[in-house]
Amino acid sequence: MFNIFKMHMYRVTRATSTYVLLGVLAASIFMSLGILFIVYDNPLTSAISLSMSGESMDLFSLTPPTVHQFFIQTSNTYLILVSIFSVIFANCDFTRGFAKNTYSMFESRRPLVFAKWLSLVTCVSICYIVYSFICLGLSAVCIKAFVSTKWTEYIVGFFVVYLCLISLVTMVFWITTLFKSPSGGMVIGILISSGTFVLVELLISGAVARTFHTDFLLANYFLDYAFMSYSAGMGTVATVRTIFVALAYMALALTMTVFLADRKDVHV
Amino acid sequence: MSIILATDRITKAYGSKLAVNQVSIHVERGEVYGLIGRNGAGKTTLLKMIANLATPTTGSFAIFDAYGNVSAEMRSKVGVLIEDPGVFQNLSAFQNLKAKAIASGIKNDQYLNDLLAFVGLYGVGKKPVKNFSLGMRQRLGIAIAMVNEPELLLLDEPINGLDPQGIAEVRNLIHRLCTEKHISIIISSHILEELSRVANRYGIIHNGILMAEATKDELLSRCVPRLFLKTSDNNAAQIVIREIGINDFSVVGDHLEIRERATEGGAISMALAQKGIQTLEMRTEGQSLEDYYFHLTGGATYV
Repeated sequence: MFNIFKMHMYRVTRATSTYVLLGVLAASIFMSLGILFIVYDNPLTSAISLSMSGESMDLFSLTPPTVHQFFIQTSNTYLILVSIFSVIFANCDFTRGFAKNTYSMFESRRPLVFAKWLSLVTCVSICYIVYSFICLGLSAVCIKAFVSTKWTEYIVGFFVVYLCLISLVTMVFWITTLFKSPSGGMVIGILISSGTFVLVELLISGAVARTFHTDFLLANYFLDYAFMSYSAGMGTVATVRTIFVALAYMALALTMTVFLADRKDVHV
Repeated sequence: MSIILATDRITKAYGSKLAVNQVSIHVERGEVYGLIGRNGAGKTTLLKMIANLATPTTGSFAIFDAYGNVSAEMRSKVGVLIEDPGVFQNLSAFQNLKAKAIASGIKNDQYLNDLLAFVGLYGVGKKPVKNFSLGMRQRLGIAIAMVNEPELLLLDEPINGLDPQGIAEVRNLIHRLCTEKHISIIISSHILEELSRVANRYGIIHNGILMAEATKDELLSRCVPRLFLKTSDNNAAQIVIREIGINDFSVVGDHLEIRERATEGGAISMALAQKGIQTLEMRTEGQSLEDYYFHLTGGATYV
């Protein structure tokens, strides 16, 4: 299993698509920084913030949790790129037929699925950590409104969002395995990461709330909504709930992927 | 010789269609087993089941005498080239071999260079595989299949689409694998002529059913030309045939099958006529491997 993991790491570091996606991601950082500059550092917002009392100053201060939420949770570019990477990664050895060489080496396919998932998670994790710190560092250096506070919230948020991200990636991994086609996986991955399903989920939640006359928000239990809406400032209940949702979806997606791999013949 | 692979009534169904129907083949250690059949006969599906790329619906197979669950160690002793070579197009030949070697836990780069040299790809350098010719890709596919030093190699249509030079290169490679590396090979093809040059045992598969399994010698003996002879008096004809010195013949139903001097139909007919025996039907049968194949599979004109 560890050898298969190493094999995936070997090929991903030599794939052109990896570097193209990293290049696009790097370019997106500067575009996002530009947006942050317009929102927080332009003369108009500065004038408004000066005229406000200290309590409202937070609205015009850029804290580490806000930076994290802006660059990762609500950034369609980041999520779409991660989805595209996951689809390409999950499909690459099938579309190229290399999977025949590895699948024929094992009687059980479970080690192959776990090793591939683990290598995908490793790549996304490295990217997440590096990207988070680059975004935080550049925001601290380039945006005047950046204030170095709420670090506890940032750390909690960092790990909860990380769990949600890995869970999303695992979902894309499962969908790609299910469809066995890069285009099918890519479309659904992009729809998830662009927040298209969030609108549907909110509509369903609204209908449920109206029908049963309750404040219960069903959308909180949909992974993409939980991921995009989470903030460490929401409290312990929201944090525990989001962790639970992330882990449940991850376990479900991974189980389904293993089930599919066990049942399906390899068509390459 | 010991059996390296045996399938026991292995079957694969896709819905109601039986792609492979109760096939039992036996491959002996050190031999090249030719699986002959037209496109869609079930050759690839059979090889995929042996390679663990498809699950048999019923039946089982034994590799290296182990039935049921085959261990990872045994699996690693089976090299696979099924359909197209499974390669990463943007990587070089060496990098593709390296990827398979890492997956197999092999760290010796010199061994990989030796493999490239063995298949005639040593000088290709960092050229991406997408720029390779089909023949080069097939040879790379064989090299990847050989990374684990397999004892059994499954080659599915390795000469499909190759030009004459490419076919000759792959044929030579198969010969060398067998003679120098002592690898048992199952090679499938619908090109009968090519298969007859490399294989020393054959399985003829048609519509998912194994029609015949025979060694090259057995098959050739079945392909010896025979004279089909139907006369007005078969008993009297037997005496005449013996008189002209032909002893290798037999009565099959309402006709005679003559295996000796089967090409001398004219002389036999003349001798019969001189004794007043009328020749009702006479034809030469089983002239080639191809004719034998057509006879088994229902007389298709193109394999």
